Amino acid sequence: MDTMFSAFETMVKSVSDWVTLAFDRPSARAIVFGVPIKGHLLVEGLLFVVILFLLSQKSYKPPKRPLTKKEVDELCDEWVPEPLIPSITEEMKYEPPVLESAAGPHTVINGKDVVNFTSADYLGLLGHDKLQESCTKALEKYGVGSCGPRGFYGTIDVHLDCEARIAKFLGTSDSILYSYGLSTMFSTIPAFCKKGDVVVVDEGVHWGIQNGLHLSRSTIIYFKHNDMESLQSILENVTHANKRTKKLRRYIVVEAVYQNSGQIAPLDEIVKLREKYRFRVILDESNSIGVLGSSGRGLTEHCKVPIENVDIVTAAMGHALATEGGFCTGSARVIDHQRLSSSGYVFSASLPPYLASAAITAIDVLEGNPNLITKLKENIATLRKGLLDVQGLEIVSDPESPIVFLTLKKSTGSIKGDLQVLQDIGDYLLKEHSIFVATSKRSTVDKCKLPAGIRLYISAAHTKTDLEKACESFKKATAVVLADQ
Amino acid sequence: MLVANRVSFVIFELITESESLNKQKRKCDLFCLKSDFCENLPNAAYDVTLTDDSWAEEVFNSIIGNTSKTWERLDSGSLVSHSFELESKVKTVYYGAPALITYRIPTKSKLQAELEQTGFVAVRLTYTSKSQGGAVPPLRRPPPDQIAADSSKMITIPYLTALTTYFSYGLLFAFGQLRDFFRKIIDWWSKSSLQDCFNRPISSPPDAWFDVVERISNDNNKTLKRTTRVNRCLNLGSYNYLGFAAADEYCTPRVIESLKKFSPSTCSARVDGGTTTLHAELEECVANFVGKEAAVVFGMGYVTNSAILPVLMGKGSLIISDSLNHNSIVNGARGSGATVRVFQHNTPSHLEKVLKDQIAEGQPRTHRPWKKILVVVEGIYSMEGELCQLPEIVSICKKYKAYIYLDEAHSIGAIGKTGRGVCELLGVDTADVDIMMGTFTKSFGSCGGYIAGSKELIQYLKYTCPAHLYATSISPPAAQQIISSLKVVLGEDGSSRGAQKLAKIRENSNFFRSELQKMGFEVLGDNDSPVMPVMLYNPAKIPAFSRECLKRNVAVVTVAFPATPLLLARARICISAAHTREDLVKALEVLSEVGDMIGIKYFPAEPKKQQLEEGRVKLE
Repeated sequence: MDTMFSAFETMVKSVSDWVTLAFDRPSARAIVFGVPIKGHLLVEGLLFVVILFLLSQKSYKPPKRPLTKKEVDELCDEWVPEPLIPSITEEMKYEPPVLESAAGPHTVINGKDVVNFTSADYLGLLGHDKLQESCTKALEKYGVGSCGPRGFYGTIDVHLDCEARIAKFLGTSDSILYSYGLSTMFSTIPAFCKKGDVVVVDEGVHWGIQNGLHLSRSTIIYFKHNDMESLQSILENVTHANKRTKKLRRYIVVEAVYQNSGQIAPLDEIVKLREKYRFRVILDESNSIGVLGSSGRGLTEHCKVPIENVDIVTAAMGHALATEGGFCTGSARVIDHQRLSSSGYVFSASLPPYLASAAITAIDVLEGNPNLITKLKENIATLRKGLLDVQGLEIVSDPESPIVFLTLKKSTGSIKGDLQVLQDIGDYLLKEHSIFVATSKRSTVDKCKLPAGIRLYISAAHTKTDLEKACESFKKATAVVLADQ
Repeated sequence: MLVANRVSFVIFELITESESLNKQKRKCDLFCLKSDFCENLPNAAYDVTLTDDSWAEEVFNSIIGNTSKTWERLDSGSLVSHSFELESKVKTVYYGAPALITYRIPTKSKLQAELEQTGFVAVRLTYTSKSQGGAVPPLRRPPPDQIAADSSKMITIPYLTALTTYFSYGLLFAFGQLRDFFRKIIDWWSKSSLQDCFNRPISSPPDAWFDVVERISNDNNKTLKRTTRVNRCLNLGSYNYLGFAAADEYCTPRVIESLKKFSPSTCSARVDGGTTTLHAELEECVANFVGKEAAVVFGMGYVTNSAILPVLMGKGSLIISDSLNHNSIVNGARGSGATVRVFQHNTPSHLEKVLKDQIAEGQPRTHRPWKKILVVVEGIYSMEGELCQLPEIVSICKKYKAYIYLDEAHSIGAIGKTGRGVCELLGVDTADVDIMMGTFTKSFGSCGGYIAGSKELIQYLKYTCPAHLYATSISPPAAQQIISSLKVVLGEDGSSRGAQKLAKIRENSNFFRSELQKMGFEVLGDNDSPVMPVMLYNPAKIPAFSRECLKRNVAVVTVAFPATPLLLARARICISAAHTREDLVKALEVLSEVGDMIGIKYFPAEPKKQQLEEGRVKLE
């Protein structure tokens, strides 16, 4: 006890000594405004303690009051959701005509034979004997579905054969099959374009591409529809505005033949821009494989661009190849990457084997009959010529495009209004003249702003009489329908 | 649901009758059937009612075992099964099936012992206490954290397994880094040691047995070349639930006829010129089958999900999605622009919490109320084999006015008495499910998907869904395959093949699952589900399991990260109605052998089958 007490005493003494010493130190003898302050160090020390004390105190915060259980329940009770879907209007009740036979150049609707311009069977391969035969064989051998994704025993030997056949046909090193045309683009794009990448894309691309871009979360810049100057200025801006861009992955996405307008992308110019600004090109050849180029190898052949200069080529097989599904082709690395990271490939059941086998046969037939393409080109020219002097409608599609796209010369002012007029023309054609055409209907989620039109898919199997009849009927129909407007 | 020590949860009701004959009915939520539960029971005789006919025999055998003399059979009674109040966190063990047999267990200690032995059982306990004082002893609930730990969907991994798994991945990662670092110097390192376990090509229909094409590699699995050699293997990988994958006596001739009439494709979108009479017929058939007013079909299941969600939901709406939903739903939700929240896999209580919080809070930042809320769940989770807890989820959604989107990709056609999926199996009225989605790839052996709902919903979707407007319509022969197989399932083909197939897949699934469990494999999923994942955990066991099984002519699918969480690599077995009992017995022999070899029997095997057989003989 004593020792503790004495220790305390010594401590107090030493502190008081230290304080006296501090007060007496030369530095402590400060003179402020002529007033000598003895011991300002002590004052500062005290201030320091006060500051520390204040800092240690919690700052004032308004008290948080989470919602009580009762309040939450009330909110839940009060909340009224919107209906799942908007109320049904008259236009939503539209029912498309029901086909009673195969969707060839001629089909049967309501028991009547009609000329069909809604089927993108450009080469007339639908119902081709060889395709039917290969399908039948495949159906007998493999059944209908593949019952599994490619990774899990859904890879059937015809899939591999089909991939090899496509690659061989297009002169690429490998290709990959998708089980649906629409999913091809929206799986391929997110497999390559990631967050932060720059994608320059035509404003007229179809929904599959739009959705793919949305899913990729990349920075998306639209250029004017099929306008190379607009593309160039945007590429220029993108590359020069920001130095960081050079470190980013950059893509240009275009369609070979635009489904929404029938225009053809000038690939040669795009490839030049690709070289100049060092972008990668993703090209959707859905409507050009089997159509463009002297042997049907698509836009690359048409524009005489080596296919290696296009980084990624995708296509749906539900058009010229008269089957279903889609493929992507390119270098082996591009394809290998998709086999592990493309969601539509990894997470979806594979293409029914008979459709893959049909695709192989379709390519064989196409390679064996280049006259199909010549015939198609003749048909396109005939129809375009016949439709030139149709009143009130104009052709906006490219002269070589197998999609002849007709828009109203005098728009009603809204896409909806235009569509209604065009649909009336279509309905009249089907009812009175047995010509079956389709308008370019647009989903509410589709961001494309291009004008609506009537889309005629021309086939090599259309006869001259069919085409002439169509032209004549169009003239009569527009005269009747547009006169009412 | 899995608990490490094989003692599962039991839903039961305790009905006591006191001396004063005041009937007291106590509903007890859910208990971990461990001995500590029994400690609190009075010592009396207990009646145990087995409540699911499909397991009755199996449970019967495992309970009776060699102590059959102590059990006394009473009568067959029935049970009001829906009176259970389920603790939403925990698995619903069974639904709706009538009780079969009631047994009397003479003493508490016997009960304790019996229940300890029993695996996955749903029982109703009734005991009659003739002791003094009518007070019902308080039942001791396990502390809440114990319930959470036991009953959450977490798979309990043995500590050592977790450690070695992490170690293996660490090793893989380190070597990967090293390889990247020295890539320029050594490029000979194999690309992936797993390469040969995936994408194995086959050269026959994916039926019960199929031909797997042999592949060879000259560069350490970097590239694989196909050879002309094939192996006839038992198929435990394809989603061929009803066995419609191969040529079928009823379907195939009709499919070929349709091919002749309609060609393989329409080359046109549904809304343009892609609607044939077959498509119209198919939509009607599907709507009738699933029990909705109308339906719309698409050519691909994946597109069905990813193109519908953006149409229904948009900015200002909320999608609440199960954490283990399929990628197509995830992509659809992402593509819609709606806010997405996730609830714990198959946990209605958490769903309720999320719903409550979200409705109270409203949209982020602006706090405006949500426009609408859609809860997206699957019928059977394909990687887990679990059934959706639909009744609970439906009641919660009703309470909070949220819409329900049910993806029946794996369940339609495969479960339910007449194959109508999870709604039928769990007794949910289809009117309570707003949007029913499913695919034709699995049970019906075709391709494509459907959405079924009210007439207005389908009209709206047909007006605006991009997959309907832009995508090539479903191939006519594939549509015919669906129509024909649906007719077989419904018995409209004039035979009972459909009913037989449905009975067979249920029988096969339950047999295979229980046998696997008896062997000591860690099997996920619920009874009746034809999907059963077998846990592998360690990455080195993935190729080992796959290759060893293939060597013995059994083809299985192995799944690992990123399709599953890192630690939870698994093999997935899909049972088909096309499998015969001999096929399954053979498969079990192979799996058992391989399982012993690579050490994936994480549980002790149950007493030898022989004893069970003896028990069965005695009873008969």
